[in-house]
Amino acid sequence: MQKTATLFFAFLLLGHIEAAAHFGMLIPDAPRITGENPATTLTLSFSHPFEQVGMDLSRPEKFTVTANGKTTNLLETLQPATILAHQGWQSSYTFNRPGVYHFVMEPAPYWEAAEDLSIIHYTKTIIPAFADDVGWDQPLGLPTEIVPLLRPFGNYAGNSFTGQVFLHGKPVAGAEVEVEFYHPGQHLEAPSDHHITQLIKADGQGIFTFTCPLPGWWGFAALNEADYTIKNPAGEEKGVEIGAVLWLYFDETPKIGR
Amino acid sequence: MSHPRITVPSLALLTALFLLISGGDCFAHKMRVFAWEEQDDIACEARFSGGRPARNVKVEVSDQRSGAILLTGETDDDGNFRFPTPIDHGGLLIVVAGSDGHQASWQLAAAPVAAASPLPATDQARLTTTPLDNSTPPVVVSEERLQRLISEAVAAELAPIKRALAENAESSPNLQDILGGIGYLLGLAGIIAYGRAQKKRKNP
Repeated sequence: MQKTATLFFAFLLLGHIEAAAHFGMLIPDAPRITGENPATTLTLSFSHPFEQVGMDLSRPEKFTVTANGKTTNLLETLQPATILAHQGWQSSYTFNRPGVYHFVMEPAPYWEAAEDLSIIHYTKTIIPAFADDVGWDQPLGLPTEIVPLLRPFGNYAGNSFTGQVFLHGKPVAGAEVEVEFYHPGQHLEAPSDHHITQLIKADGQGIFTFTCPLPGWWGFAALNEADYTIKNPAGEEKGVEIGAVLWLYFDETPKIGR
Repeated sequence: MSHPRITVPSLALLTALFLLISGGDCFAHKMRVFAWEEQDDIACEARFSGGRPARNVKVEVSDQRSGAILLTGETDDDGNFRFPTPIDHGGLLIVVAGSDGHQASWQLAAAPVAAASPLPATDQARLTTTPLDNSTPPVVVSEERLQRLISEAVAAELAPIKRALAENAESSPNLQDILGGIGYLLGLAGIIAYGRAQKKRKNP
């Protein structure tokens, strides 16, 4: 009997590895662009950011950059890459004008059998180039998106992010927003699963505020059920979770004295 | 750096008055400048944070190698300033300075030079326009063409890496997949064992 229980426990434990939240990820090497290095590599993946566990991201449907009122298609620049031991994508982008650059990835629907639905995470990362700071508060008109109310760059760990969740252009009252921390190459211990994926609910205007205590990338994913269905790989019509994901970088707080 | 330090009380009072009149945006707003090559000119734009043009501010252009001031001027009403690219310069330092203590600068790398003169460490490539072949006479390269050249060169350099990455994408099962697989097997065995144990208990 004891042996049985041990085996059962082992099953639970191993089965559990895949249980955390997944995030569309769009992470540039540089959180801001300066004259010293006017280019950055952008890494696209579908991962569990805190635990740094990868999943496969098939070729995205869209990959664009919007800056200074212009949207450019970057899909052709994507190169396959191995991210956290799984299929991901990379692109290099060279900046030649000041601006606030909104990079957006729309992945192909990901069929998640365990949840009996397909997942589409519209993933957005906003970085400034050459000290520009205009346009960070503009919605891009995505099917769903988080529009920042805190300027999404030039922040310290410990600053609070405020954002507004939109679905089809309308604020989502009471939207649930999952939050995860990503620090490439560094594995942190969380006291519990709840700490791995934190959760906040937006107010009646779809506005939420969350304090990010550590330096690095923080991902916010507002998840909603779409009002349409799509076919799963078996050809059955199934529901769709559409997520508005936003990634922000928080810098280390400068040391006083020295 | 760009904010004046206020030490004298009367100055503080004046400042407060000024802030009141100006709405305070002069002090809250940082100035920035950006410059790029456009045909035979260098174009500069000076802006305040928030995007307002820094109009009629002083511009000083100096040569980074010699330190000599090459020219001075003022931005126009749109915060723009333009000058012909100096011949054979050793890297340009463009400084814009407002009357209220705001200052910002931008550096441009040395112009294309035929002679193989070593560049000072400060001349880190912003918009490197050095021809690939030093034996050829200096060529004027438009920004578009330069970008194309760079991306071609980068693409050529990256090709083998990309290929390797693409090959890796078809990766064999990793440790987690294997552990997961074992987990499932153990789990199934566990369920069967549990079922049997229950049966045994019911009908000993």
